[in-house]
Amino acid sequence: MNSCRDFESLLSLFAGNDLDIEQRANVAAHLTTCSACRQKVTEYEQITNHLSKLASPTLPETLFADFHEEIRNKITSGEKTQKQMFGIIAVIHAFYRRRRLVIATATLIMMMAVPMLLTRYFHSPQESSSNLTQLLEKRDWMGLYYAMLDSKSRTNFLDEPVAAQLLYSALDELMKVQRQDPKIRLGLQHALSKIKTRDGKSLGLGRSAQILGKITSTGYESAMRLSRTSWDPEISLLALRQIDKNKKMKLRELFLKTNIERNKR
Amino acid sequence: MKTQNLTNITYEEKLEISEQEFAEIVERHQHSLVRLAFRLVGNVEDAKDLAQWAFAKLWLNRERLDNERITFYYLRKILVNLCIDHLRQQDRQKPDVEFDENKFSSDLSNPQHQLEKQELQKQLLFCIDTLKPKQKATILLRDVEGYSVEETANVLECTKNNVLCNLHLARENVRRKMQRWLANA
Repeated sequence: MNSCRDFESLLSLFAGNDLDIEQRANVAAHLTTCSACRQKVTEYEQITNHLSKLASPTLPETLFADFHEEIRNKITSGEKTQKQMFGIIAVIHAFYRRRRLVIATATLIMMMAVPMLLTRYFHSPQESSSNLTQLLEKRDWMGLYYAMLDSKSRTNFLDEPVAAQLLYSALDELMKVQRQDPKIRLGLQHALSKIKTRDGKSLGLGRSAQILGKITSTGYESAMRLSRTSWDPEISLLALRQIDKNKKMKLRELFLKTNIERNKR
Repeated sequence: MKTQNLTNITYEEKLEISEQEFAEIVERHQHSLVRLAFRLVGNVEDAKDLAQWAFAKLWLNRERLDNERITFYYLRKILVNLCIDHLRQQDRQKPDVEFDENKFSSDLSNPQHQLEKQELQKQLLFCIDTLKPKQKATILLRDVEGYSVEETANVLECTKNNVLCNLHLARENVRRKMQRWLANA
C-alpha cells in the first residue's frame, strides 16, 4: 500500500481524526513522503476547521410560542393515521387467522380465471389479426367459429360489408363442409344462436338449428326449386352467377332476411 | 403506582412517560432539535415543523423509551430521518440548485452570526447544501455538530463503515467544489 491512490479515501478521514491508530500511522508515514497528499490533507483540515467553528443559528423566540400546542395537533393527526394503520393491520391479521379459507378461495378463483384468460389470450390474435373477408377467402372455418363466439368481433363481422359473391360462395361451401363435419355444424349453430335480431333478442339454439337446416337444404337442385318459392333465392349456385360483382352485403342482413322469410311463412 | 424493580428501571418508567415528563423533554430539546433541522433543511418553518413531528412521533411511540440518553438519540434519529425524507422530496421537485445568498443568512441577525455572513463560510454551507441528503446529514452531524463516528452511526441507523464512507464522499465533494469556487474567485 504505497501509491497515493491507496490513501485517497483515507486522507479526508485522517484530517477529521476518524481513523484508528494503525491506519493513522500508515497515512502519517505516507504524508512524510508525498507533498500532494499533504496539500489535500491541509485543505480537508481547513474545511473541517471552518465547519466546527460555524456558529449555531439563532432562532427567533417567537418560533416557540405555540410549540406545545402545535405538537399536540400533530399528535392528534398522527393518532388518526396510527388508527388507520391498525385497521389495516387488523384486516391483515383477520385474513391471516383464516388463511386456509382465503387460500382455498383464491385458488378456486385462480382455477376458474386462468383457463378463461388463457382461452381469451390464445384466441385473441386470430380475432384481431383478420377480418371476415380474409377468413372467408382462406375458408378458415374454425377461425370464423371462434370469432363469432366473441361478442366484439361478432358485431364487427356481422356489420362488415363483404363482396356478395364471396359471401354466398363461401357460405355454400360451408354448408357442404358442415354436412360432413358435425363439429363445424355444431359450432356454426352455436355461433348463429348468438346473433341478435332486430327486436334485440338472440336467435337461440333452436331457431339457429332451423335456419341452418333451411340453408343446408339449399343444395344445387333444391336451390333451383326454392328460388321459385318464397325462400331466399340468393343462396343458390344458380343465383350466385347472376350476382353483381361489385355488390357488397353484410352478414347480418343475410341472417335477418332468412329469419324474417321464415317467420312470414 | 404499582412498580416492579428491574435493574434500577421500573416497569412504569420503562413502558410509558407521563405528559409532564413529555413536556419537560420538549422543553429540554426543542431548541437543539429545531437548530439541527434548520442546518439540514435550511428553512426555519420546515425545521420547526419537522422538529414538532419528531416530538409527536416520540409521544406516539412512548413505550419504547428507556432513559434520557435513549430519548436524546431517539429524537435525533427520528428528526434526521424526517429531514432526509424531506430533502429527498425537495430534490425530486427542484433538481436545479442556485446559490441563494438569503438562504444562508436568513434570521441570522444576531452579531454572533457575523462569522457566517463571511463569504467563505456561506460558500461552504452552500456546498454542503448541494450534497446528497445522507452525505449532508453525515457531515453536519460529524463536523458541524461534533458527534463522534459511533454517535453519528447511531443517529443515522447505519454501520460505522457506512458513516466513514459517506463522510469521505461528503468532504471530498465539498473540497472539490470549494477548489472550483476559489479558482473562479
